[in-house]
Amino acid sequence: MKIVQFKDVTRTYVTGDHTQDALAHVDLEIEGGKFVVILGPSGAGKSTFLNLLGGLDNPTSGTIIVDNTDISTLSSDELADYRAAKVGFVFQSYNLIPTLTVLENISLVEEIAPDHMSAQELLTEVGLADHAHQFPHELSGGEQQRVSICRALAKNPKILLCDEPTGALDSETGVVVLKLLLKMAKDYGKTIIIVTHNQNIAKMADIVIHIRSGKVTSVDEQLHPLSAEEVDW
Amino acid sequence: MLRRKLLRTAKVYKVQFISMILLIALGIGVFVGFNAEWVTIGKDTDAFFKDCGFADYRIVDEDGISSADVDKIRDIEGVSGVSRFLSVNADVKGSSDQLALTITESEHTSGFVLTEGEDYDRWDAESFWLMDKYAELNGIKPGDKLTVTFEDLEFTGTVKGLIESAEYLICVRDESQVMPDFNTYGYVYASPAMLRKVIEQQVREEEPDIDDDVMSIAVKEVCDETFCQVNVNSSMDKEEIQAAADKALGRTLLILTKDENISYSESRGEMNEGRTMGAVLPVLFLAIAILTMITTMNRITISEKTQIGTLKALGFRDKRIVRHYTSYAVIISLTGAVLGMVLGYLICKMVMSQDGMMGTYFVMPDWTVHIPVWIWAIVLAIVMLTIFIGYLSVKDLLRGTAAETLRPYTPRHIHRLLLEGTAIWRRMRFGTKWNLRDIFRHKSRSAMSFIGTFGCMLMLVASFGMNQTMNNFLDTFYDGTAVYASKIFMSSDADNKDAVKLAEELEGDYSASVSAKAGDKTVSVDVYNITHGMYRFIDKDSNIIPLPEEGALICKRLARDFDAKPGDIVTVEPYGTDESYDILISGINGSLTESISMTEEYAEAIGLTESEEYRINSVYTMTAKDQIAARGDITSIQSKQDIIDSFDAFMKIFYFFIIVLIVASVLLCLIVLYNLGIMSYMERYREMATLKVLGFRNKAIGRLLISQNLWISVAGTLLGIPAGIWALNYLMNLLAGEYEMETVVGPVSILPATALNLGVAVIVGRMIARKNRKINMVEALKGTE
Repeated sequence: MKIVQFKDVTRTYVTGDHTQDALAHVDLEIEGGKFVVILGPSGAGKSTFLNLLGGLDNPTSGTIIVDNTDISTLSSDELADYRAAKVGFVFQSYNLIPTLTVLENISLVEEIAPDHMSAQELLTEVGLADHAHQFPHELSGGEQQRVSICRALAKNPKILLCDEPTGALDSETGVVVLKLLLKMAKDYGKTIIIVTHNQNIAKMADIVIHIRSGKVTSVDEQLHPLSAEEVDW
Repeated sequence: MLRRKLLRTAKVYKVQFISMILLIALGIGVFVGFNAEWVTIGKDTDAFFKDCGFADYRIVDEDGISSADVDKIRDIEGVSGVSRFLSVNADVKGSSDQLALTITESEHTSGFVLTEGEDYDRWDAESFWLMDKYAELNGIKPGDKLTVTFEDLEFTGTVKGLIESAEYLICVRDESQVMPDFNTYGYVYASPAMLRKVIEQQVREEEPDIDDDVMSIAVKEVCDETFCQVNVNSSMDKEEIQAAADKALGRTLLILTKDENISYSESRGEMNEGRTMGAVLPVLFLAIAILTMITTMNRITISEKTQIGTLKALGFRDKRIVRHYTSYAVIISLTGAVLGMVLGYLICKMVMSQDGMMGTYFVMPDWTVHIPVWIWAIVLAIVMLTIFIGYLSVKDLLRGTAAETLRPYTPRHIHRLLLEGTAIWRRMRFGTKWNLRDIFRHKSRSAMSFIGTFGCMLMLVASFGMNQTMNNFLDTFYDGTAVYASKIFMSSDADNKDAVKLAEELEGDYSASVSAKAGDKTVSVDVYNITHGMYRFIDKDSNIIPLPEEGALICKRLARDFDAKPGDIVTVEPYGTDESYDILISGINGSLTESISMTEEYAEAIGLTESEEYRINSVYTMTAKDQIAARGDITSIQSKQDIIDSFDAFMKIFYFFIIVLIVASVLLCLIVLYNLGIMSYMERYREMATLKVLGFRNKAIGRLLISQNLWISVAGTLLGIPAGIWALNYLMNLLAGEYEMETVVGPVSILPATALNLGVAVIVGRMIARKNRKINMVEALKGTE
């Protein structure tokens, strides 16, 4: 089943007299439950793709259908509801609320996500149950990213969108976080889309999409993706 | 290049820059406006008093003062100016207007300032010098003829000059009139030569064959009887001049100080009132403005941390960077100070100018606004302080290495609150927890928001309360004590029996006021005959009380001054007599004047009604003013509405200050909250973007923003109420010498103050909450924390 469909999607940015297509006429379909990596150099349009898919931005033209919903025509509030129910974000810089404890950071989504999961259970699963009442600044970078993953999963979304999730971590911690991310996504049956320029992560993906100059240059399905242990980090 | 950066940075922080300039301008404006007002009253009136030779003492003898007496007073060492002085209310022929016909034998004492026409000539028996405002409103110009009559004397002459006199700085007909009415009442100076000419004419009418020598003696005698007052310029104190004058003239004289003259006492009263007001609320206002500005300045510098680090890394010396960033403070504080001085000047000018509020009360030629050195010094100190704070903020950031400065600013880490772990905390929604922690994380910002709303509420409650207190004061006296519809003022030569008869005819009551000395004070001993309930009395808590049958009521101010309690005896000595009376104090009452009130029966019992100074001077009746026939022994009739209207006009000046304070408080609250709200918005931008990404709707995020502002505002408002009442009580105690007002702050004051304060908080909250629609989630979440 196709969970994501991009139909002739263009996103143009206008700066003064200058216009630039961050994404140009992109047509793409992604199967549900897959682990997708989007690769491309800086400025290729990877993040724009992720932002459009996450409902953080609107396309200039074209249609984006996620889980049978056309999100390209949604209002601001409808997009908020879409983000609350359908997608979970994991950022490079974690973006935890500094004035909320670890547990509160996760359980705050209970107020908006109708089908949310137990924050405490998720924390136990990622091994941070003992840190539930600590503030983000009291945790290491890897721990903070694990909290961020829990928060993304707590909404029980269909898709997990990750923008360079290991970019701010050392490689050892990065691998741990990545393994956890994949495990959790698999355990809960989520589609996971990671934007990165780390070629090693792509070796683990079911599907690798290459983007260059705002265009999808290739969509490669990997029949035998490597596990994290098999990748030479 | 750094100059360009300065301008562009100012553009980035335009809201903060504009609000800081407005804050400083408002703070300084209100402070300067309120304080320049009383300083200007003092300086301009002092100059006017000096230019006119305003008398320091008025020596009164009802039997008249001869020219020989004048010579004796002039010979007293320490007396610098002496002039026999006459001021009577004369009718203007051909109209119902009255003019205070004034004759001063020496223009150097109790004289005037010429504003148009020819100089005063004491030998000119054919000319008048007329008050310019009255002349202007009645179309009279120099060269016009004028006739005024007093009793059976008629004074006719040509208006030679238009003038203003300090003796009539406050030009009212008598003490019953609160506000001048320049259209119907003014003053005119005539020369002693004209007085002699008029007396001569009268004598000649009575005795046509009188020879010149006899005439000269007769005129002198009449003049000596007519002049009952000699005005004196002297630096001696009252006891000294009293002793010296009594000794020189061989009799005890009534000597009135300038404090007992309405022009002097009221102008000093206005000045003191202004000083009291200026020392409390505007100072608080200024303090809030400065504190908010300092907080904002500090936070802007902090948000420029990376740029400061970049400049440092590029090789700019610390001194240059400090100079660059301190220049923001210089620009803001100097611009704010200049605008504030202009605003202060304008506020002062709105009150202190010929066409301003005080122009309806005072008549004087010079209305120069005075901003004294100490005000300039305070403004300079404010400018220096803000620059210094700006300097310290940058200096603090430059303390470390370039690498340290380059790192983005991270707010202080959050610590657990005492409330955490309690059942209440567990039941709180995340938004509540978030806001509570944020308040404590950004303590200075939260504290400033609190101080802003608290201070504004304090000022609003005090301002509205002052208004309510004043209205209550007026209601108490005009609705509570004055039941009558008309008050009839009897002339000084009216017969007491005629006054009693008039009161009977009009089914009214009457009173006699005897001016007397009690200790070192002049008090009014008021004797009432109340049979129709036309006049009532109130106790110190504004409850209606009857006049005691035995003893008298003493007003609150006198009770305080004399430390008098019920059961005490106060001795009074009516002026112009050698008599003294012991009065038993039976109670304390609230009164507009410094007075002792008693029944006619008690006055009879102590013998006061037998005093030659005992004259019934007021009759109170329900008969309408226009139903009372004019007669020779009635000086004037005032309806209760006339009195209320004239007090209302007087109150306009007071209300102006109240309105300035209320408007300025609301503006201050608005600017402080908006400024700090924007700062809070900027500092929580990333967190709000995160919430938005998670799926929180704009409204929900907006509610989070508004609720923090509202909590702080509600706390500020709630605590501001008792603080406002306290400040008002403090002010009223300071003003207690002027008025006998009980502080009244009820829902009429608290509700509008609360509505305004919270209304501003809600409006500002909504303005800021609306901004979250524009949060760019993509941009906000880029980069690292």
